[in-house]
Amino acid sequence: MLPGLILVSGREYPVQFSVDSGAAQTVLGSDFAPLLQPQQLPSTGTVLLSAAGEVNSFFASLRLAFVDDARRRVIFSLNCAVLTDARQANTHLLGRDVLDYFAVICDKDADRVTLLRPPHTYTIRL
Amino acid sequence: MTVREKLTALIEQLPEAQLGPALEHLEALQSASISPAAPELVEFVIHDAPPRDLRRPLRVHTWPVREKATLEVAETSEAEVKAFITLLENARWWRDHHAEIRAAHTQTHVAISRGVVFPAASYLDALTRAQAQHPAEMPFIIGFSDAPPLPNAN
Repeated sequence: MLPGLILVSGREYPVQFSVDSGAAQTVLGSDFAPLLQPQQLPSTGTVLLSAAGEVNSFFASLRLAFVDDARRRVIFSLNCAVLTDARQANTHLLGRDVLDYFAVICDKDADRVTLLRPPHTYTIRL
Repeated sequence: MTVREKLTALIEQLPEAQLGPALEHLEALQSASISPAAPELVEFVIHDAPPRDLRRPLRVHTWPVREKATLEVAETSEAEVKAFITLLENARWWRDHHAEIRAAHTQTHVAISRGVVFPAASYLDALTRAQAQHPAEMPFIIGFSDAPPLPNAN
């Protein structure tokens, strides 16, 4: 899990994302549907597809914040999918619309997910 | 030739016994392929993956990103940094205690703040309860669902 904040109408809401490099789109679970209804974007006919088929959702414009290792805020502005039925799924997924900014390292043994971007780099030693 | 094309070409040359383990790591390779060090990762996949006889489709397609997010880096106040650090600490506390909390609470949501558990019926209720007690902190909040999933649940 990767903790972050949702910034809406001057307030901050904590959220725990699962990093999903297979998701083309960042998705928020239905917990946030009531909060984000006012930010709902007009429908473009785009639907959210999971491995199991279409998922009930709407799109909302919002900002996500994390804090980097230099203690600065890294803020993403995006159009996020918001699920509306907890029985389908209620997970929060950080998708490639955000992850593509980084090299993503998921290290289970170290219990760490690292999102890395310049000036930081990494090396794999064999 | 892009890094992804090079990776695909290399993987296509693998003997069948090594193909499955390599494909198992392909998603991670794609995620990491923005690094200049990516070509070396191919060797990592070939030598480090356990030998298993897996059969998977050779080509893996991912949906293109429809609209990339925009990023800005902003200076942050000390109070904002502290609040975020408390969120990380509360998340760690949850990780260490989640089994007992899950067993002890039947509400659909809990907020964790400074080792105190705030059960509630919704995300917003849990947030309100935790911040009423610890207004300067950012609680960790998680929802549970015991409802039966729909047939097309993810």
